[in-house]
Amino acid sequence: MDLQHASMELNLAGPLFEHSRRCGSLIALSVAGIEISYAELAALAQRVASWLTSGSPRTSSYVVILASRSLEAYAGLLGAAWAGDAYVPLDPHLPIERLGQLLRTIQPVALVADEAGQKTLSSLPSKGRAFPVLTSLKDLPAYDPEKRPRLMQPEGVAYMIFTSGSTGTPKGVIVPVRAVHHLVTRMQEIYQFQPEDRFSNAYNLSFDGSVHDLFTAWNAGSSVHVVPVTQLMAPLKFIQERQLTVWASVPSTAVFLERMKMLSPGAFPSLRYSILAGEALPVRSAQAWQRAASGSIVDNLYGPTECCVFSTMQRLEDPPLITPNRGLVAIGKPLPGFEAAVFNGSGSPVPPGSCGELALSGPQLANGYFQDPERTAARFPVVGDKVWYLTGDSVYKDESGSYHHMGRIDSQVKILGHRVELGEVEAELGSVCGSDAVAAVAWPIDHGSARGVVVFHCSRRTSQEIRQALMERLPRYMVPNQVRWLENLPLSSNGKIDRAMLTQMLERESAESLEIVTEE
Amino acid sequence: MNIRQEIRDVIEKLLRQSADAEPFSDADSLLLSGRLQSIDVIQIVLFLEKRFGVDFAQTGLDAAEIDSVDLIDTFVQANAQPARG
Repeated sequence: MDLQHASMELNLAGPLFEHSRRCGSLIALSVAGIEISYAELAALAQRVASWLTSGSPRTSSYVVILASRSLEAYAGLLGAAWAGDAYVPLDPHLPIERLGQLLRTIQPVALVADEAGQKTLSSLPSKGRAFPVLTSLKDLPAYDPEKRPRLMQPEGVAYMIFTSGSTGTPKGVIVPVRAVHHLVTRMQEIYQFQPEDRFSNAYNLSFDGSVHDLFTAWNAGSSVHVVPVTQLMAPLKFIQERQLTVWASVPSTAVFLERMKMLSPGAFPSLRYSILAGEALPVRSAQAWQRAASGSIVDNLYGPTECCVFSTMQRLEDPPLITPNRGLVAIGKPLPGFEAAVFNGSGSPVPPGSCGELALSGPQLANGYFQDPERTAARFPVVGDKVWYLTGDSVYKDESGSYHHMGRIDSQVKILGHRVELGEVEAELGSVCGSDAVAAVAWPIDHGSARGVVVFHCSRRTSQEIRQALMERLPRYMVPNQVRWLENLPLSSNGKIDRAMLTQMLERESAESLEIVTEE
Repeated sequence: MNIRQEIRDVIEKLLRQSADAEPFSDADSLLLSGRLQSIDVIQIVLFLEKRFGVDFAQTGLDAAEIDSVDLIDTFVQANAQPARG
């Protein structure tokens, strides 16, 4: 099919709109049992945009999408883009307290909720709520074929995604249209996606991998297939039945499928491209995925939310480029447009081959953190004549110019691709226990990725009470798997809580016990 | 020991590891409710494979099919390989 690639320069919904005019009957989205064409989805986005802008004139603002894996979610974010607003995806299963706090911070101009989102929202007091809530796509203004997506400046905000903050408050990363445009253009150059391509959408909208799934696919005129939550962990049948050609997910999906012996050789004959991104990629799982998807390219992509999804890339080769002693695929070379540097603690470049903090510069950098100029200045310093983002990732560059990830320089960990600041867990735990004598460690660690968090306390509250209280404050993936009581926390020689010793304690225990399934 | 009780025992151990001592009925949602996490699901899958010979490469895995003790029981009845059971 002869399709020109649409320009996204001025609006995230631009390509959707252009394809709707040229080839409107192609399927754009398959979600929750509904298949919807480019023409239908563009019309829906335009109607949501009309609803958003029907009030008095206003400047561009934030539209919260309290919806997940539903038509409302996708229509909502496209409607926000169409209207020239920025979308802010929030998980409808967030604890009430955290949702309330986020909404007070964001001060959104409107909110789009699906059924799950409405249920959560109904638990929040609506008194004093200053924004309208869209709860049904049936009540929208009529379609107006004259209305196009609103032109946006390159620096206009496309979306804001919240990530864990080390001081106990989540931080909003503000990503401009320019960054998304650059990402999508580069991905199209690298992969040459076609309208016949069938993309997965496994990433949650509140996870920026979804930005690639959606906008790269719609830029190419391809279709997006949203993986139902019940099949997320083991999407074997989903990939097979939908005949997906492009898969993108956290490497944990490959790790889990391999561990459950579900990655049979040749299991995924339809896949052309497999993008594994969001956390460390174990070589063994990558190779097992490659055998299952023998006709597919398998790529490890790395990138912080602050650099719009993907920043570096390493293709799985034979033999693979391995990060020594870690069993991981290297994170590879910077994508076109990115400049990478490795800095030491005082902000100077380290000698080649030495370890230091990875810094990134280029057109995909975020504008900074929402209402936090101090943190923005600290993490996005100007060095020389460029703005850099300091990733907090410890890396070194090998002789071939590829980068290797060696862990974090701070206490951030990744759990199923979610960024978790252990400091944030400790801040909430401290407030629940009424004491600072608390600690959180990532445990167990499996090939560079945490599978959960274990917390320690010395208070009189029961483990059950603490866990319950944390469930009411933290997103599910940050809630500890285990709550442990100790009479005293071990201290290091400088008087700080010795987390390494706590981890060693867990390692010792684990060596002494066997996995549940092997217990007789 | 009957199958249902064996399944209950495994679930109970997994919940206990998460400091979750709340009672659960055979019909209670365990996965989709978030009481068990993905790392726990691996344990359940390996248990069902080892104990009942379920071949997950054939059956696939939909969390909705093994979300409660009742559902796991039904799933095992349908997919157990008797020779290994």
